[in-house]
Amino acid sequence: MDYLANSFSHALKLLVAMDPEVLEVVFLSLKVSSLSTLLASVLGLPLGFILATKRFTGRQGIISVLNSLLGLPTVVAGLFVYAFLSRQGILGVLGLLFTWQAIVIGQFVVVLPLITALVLNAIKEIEEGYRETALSLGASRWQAALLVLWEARFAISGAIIAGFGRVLGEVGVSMMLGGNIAGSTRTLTTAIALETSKGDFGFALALGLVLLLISFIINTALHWLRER
Amino acid sequence: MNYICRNIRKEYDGKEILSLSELHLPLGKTTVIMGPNGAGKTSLLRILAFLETDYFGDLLVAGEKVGKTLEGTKKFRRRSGVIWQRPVMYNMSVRANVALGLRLRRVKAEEAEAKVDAILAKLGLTQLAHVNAKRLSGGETQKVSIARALVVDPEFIFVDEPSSNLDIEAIELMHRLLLEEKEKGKTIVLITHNLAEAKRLGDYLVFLNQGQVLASGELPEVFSAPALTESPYWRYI
Repeated sequence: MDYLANSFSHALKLLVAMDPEVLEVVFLSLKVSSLSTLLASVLGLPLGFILATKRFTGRQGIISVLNSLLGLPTVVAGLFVYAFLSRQGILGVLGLLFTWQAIVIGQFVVVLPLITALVLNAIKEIEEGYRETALSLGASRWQAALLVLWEARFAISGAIIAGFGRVLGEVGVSMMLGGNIAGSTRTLTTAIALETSKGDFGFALALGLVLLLISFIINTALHWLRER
Repeated sequence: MNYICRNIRKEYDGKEILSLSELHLPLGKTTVIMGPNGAGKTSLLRILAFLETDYFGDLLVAGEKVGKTLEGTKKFRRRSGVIWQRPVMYNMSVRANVALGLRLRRVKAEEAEAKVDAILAKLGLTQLAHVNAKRLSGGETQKVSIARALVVDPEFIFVDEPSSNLDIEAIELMHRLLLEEKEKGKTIVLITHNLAEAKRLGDYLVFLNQGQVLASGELPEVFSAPALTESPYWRYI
């Protein structure tokens, strides 16, 4: 019990003192997760919109693949990207393995299906009525599409935030592609795993508390958006 | 001058839901579409309102052929207003919803403001102008949809069973507005199940059954047409 209490007090001290090592890990995590979520949103938003609104051959196939990828374990995603980025891989010459950029690529692979699927569902639900109403109000094709997007804005923001939450909390990709290198690729989750195994429970707990706080903020934002 | 539908055929899931050889709707008059449920009334209204592009046949407005792409129908859609049976409101204020058609047509802000103010006052919606349109009752929503359709001063007004969500007072107001629009020479196409409404507002009737025209013509003469009076649907009317 003392051990837990001591660790907890050590964690709080680290947080209050704004320990540079803790801050570095937190900022790196926020940086890679924000970047991967941003890139996945740039591709996932139009992809989700097209899948929800257009009928074309292969559409159902793409949706099935997307849905299967939703449950993709992050270590498996890491493994696939590793195969491309390792020295023998076709992108090996870029020398990206064990860099924070590699984590961004891996997280992008993890979060793209999630954001696309959530955007697809959000738009599919409202598309027919809102698009037709827009057209009946004299909208051009593009204006009608923009009005549908505007109407789905809260659900789309929710999809992006949910995606961010997923990659911030993942450990498989960060460990396999980042290598958990101190000062370079150590993220919140990989640092927690490492520090716990090293026995520095206080440090791990401090990072855990930060992760919990961010999760709480994400969930509050999601709840607020769902109520809109 | 007429609005002509020539050899219109519409399929849905491989099944023919509409098949009309030739239909002439008089411009500047009110045409009422009646018929039992599933007769194809709303499908026909969607085609007539230039919202459908996937159908066979041609639409000719005063001799001008209507295109079959969204860009091709845009010109005609911008001359139209549609009042739906179950209107969809955008997640914005009543005022913004009503102003949408004007914004899409890039009407100048001051002009749009004045038009929106006038139509809101006419429909008794001024008090609700800043309320989110999603929070309105069914009747209020229908009134906003009427304001939203009429604010652009459309030449064509398409109405799908408008009275289903309205109380007697609101129905009376809507009838007065539609009669006013008819006076101005607007072409109105209205779906209704209500005979009194059809007689009060209509000049011309199209009676549909199973996707085909059972009878059409001037009101009230068409009500004595044998095709209608001798059909099993006469009892329904």
